Amino acid sequence: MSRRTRPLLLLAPALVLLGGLFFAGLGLGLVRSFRYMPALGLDTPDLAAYAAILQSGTFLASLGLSLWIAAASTVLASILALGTALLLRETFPGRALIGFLVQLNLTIPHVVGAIGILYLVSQSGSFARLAFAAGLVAVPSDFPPLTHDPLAIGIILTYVWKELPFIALILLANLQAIPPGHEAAARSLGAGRWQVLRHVTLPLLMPGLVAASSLVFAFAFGAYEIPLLLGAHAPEALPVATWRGFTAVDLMHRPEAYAMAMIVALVSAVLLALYASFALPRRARP
Amino acid sequence: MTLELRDVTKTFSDDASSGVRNVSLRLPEGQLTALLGPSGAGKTTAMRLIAGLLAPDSGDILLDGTSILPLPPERRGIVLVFQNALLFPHMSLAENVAFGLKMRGLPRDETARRVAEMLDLVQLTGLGSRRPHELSGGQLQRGALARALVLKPRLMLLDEPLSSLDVALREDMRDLIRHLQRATGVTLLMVTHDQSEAVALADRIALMMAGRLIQEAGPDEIFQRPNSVATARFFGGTNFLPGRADKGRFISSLGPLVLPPGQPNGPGVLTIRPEAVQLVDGSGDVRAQVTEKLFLGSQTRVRLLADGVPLTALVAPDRAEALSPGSWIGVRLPTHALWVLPAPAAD
Repeated sequence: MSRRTRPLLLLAPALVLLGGLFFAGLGLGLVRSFRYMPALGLDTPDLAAYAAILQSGTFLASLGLSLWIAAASTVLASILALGTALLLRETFPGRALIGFLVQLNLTIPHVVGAIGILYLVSQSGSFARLAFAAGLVAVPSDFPPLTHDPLAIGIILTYVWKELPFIALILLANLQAIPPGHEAAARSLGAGRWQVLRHVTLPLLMPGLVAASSLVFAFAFGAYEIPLLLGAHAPEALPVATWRGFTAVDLMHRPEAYAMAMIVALVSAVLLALYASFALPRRARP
Repeated sequence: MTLELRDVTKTFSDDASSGVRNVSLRLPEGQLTALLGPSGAGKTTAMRLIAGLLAPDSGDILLDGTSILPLPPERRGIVLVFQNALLFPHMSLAENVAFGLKMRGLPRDETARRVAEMLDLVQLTGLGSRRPHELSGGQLQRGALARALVLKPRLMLLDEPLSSLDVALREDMRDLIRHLQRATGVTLLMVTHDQSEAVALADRIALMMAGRLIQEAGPDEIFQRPNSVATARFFGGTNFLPGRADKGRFISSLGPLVLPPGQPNGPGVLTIRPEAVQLVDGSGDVRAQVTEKLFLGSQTRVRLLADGVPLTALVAPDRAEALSPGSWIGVRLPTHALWVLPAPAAD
């Protein structure tokens, strides 16, 4: 086996999976989004599906909601994860416990978390009843709507709860890879703790933070189960709207669902590319 | 600027070797002091204590008579230059040099002017836009010096500044540190484990071993007149002859040897530097048999046995040419090179 074929062979399973499932699926979806489905009698590709959804107010509302959910979850989870990672790097009593809780969190599925959030913060949940018992609200349903609400607070809470440990663990690994002298050198050059964080630690962490938060953003933007469980009826998050398009009785809705899926993919790709080029200045790259 | 350590102690529960114990030391203003010692002697700990990266268990550290212990590292006016330069990888060389000034909120134009000045001084003119990974080891080290010096620190600490450089660069760097020190008048404390580096660079040498300060003196003095067998050994001393000094003579198994004036009477250890031992054709002070000969380049090391006493001589290679193991030669131990050390305390 030559030195050139060996890596190719080792890569083959991954390439087959990626190429076969991902690119073929994407390609098929793209073709169908152009309303080319001969089985349904659609044999001339056109852009009518795109035109229809871009003109419909519900699609744009769904797109906006999904962007809001993804952006708010990513920003909140990133900031909290940064604090957690910086904290976990120090030694203090209880550090091991916090480290354990953070990792434990990773093992709980999203759906389980969403149900937990539902039990806790919905208008019939534990917090609402506690607030009622404490006399803070007249009836439990006066508790502010945090699930199935237009601001998607329940959804964002679930994502922050679930993705925080994920980002924190990646940042912690990155922190441990920073040569320990850099921060001490900065201190000795006259930088205070915050200046060290702002000018040395954060820039050195940026590649890890961008990678981790990009994954979180893409996931929160495209995932279906949490908005389905905790989202309002209108507008609904884009993945939910897309899935309803696929499962509609009228098969002629399919091209619109495919077009929505394509737009989800395109928006994710463009936003992540912009984010990477903005957050990773040329000099931070190796 | 005078830095003073008063009876400073810092020990680590998990690492017994690298603490410092009851160290008292004064750094003279505008001079280069070398903190010398084998690894694990506590040199780096001492430096981190001074920089404020560690707090002592007891004792005090004073700058111009005022304790600096309550001050955080960034407020001490002391800059530490680390062994491996540690330029920030996400900044250009010029941004690295400007870092401390930026943290102090200096106006941009003045920052730029001082950075350019400093890059000239360390001979990195025109390299300001390079990233650290585009610089050589010597350039990184000079960048780190510039980054510290641009702040006009009251005291600059150098942690093994030469050890990460290859031999050819060391001499340049040594000259540069000397030059920078003279040009800026900064007070310098340099940590090193290399006695030749310390002797060549420093105005004063403070020798540390196992957390304690053993001797503090000028290079010449510490080299020629060490205060203990340990110091003499660290500076390459090899000849140690136990006996006693009595009325200007040293009585040992080699017979009486005339001492230079001013040596105290009593039991002691006679030492003579290997390069001061002379090999002569006559009988000399004592006859000795060659046990080993090693050509070292500019010198040849000859190991000898004189009346059962091992001696080492470093002589010019042509002087040793005719010798081989087993041959006999006269050994002269010149009076002016003899030095009596206190006898080691009985353990």
